Amino acid sequence: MPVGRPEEITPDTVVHRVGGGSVANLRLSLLDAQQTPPGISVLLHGTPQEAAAQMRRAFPGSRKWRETAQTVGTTTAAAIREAGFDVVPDPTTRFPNHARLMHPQGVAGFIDEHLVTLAATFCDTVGC
Amino acid sequence: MSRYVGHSVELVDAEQRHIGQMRIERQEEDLLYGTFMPGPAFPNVEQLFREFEAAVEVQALPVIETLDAAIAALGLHLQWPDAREPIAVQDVQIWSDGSITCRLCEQSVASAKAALQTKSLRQTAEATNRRT
Repeated sequence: MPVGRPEEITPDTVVHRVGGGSVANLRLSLLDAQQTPPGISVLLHGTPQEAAAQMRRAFPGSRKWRETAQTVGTTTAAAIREAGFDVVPDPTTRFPNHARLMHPQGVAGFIDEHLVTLAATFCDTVGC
Repeated sequence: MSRYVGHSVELVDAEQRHIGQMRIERQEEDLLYGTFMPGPAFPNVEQLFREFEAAVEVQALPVIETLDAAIAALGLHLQWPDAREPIAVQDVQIWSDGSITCRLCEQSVASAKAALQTKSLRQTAEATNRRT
């Protein structure tokens, strides 16, 4: 299913990356790189705690997300765009508020130099 | 305690193939937690669950959407060993550490609630009988 358009996400929209907003957690995985367009999963709206709870509820048996979901990086769509990236709606059945954080250059845009700028826009909340 | 917790049930697909056995250890509302012991037909579906786990690990949520559909298409359900009516479940997740979770479908939840109510009514009736 094609992703939505950037203008569907207003600049003040809150954007969460479960696991935190570090460069390591913002890198494209191999699976992310195979998507069209390539991008990482983020959750829109609500609080960091709600984003973490969504992940734990969706994958209750996942040891990784029981632990890693305790940290959530939060930013806004405007800040993501100022950092040279973009975010588009990409709802899934499990996550109706799912969106894809992408770069205009695709995979080539997810270099560490760009990711450092992107990571600086995130504020981590721990203990979610 | 839930009517399911502490029991071992067979995980069976739509073609009645035995995927494995689930030992139910905990229930939280419609969610069952347990341990999974692979059955003879598990190799046929194992790859799907490994791919699902890999996608969960890297938070590739659109990939999970596709795998969800493939897993749902297996028509997995739980079966009591003594062939009582099958337990309708959805969202079966089998992990490489041997754990498994699934969610009871509404009909199973309703059935479990009815069983609990029946049990409660029976206990009330027994208590009343003892008093009279």
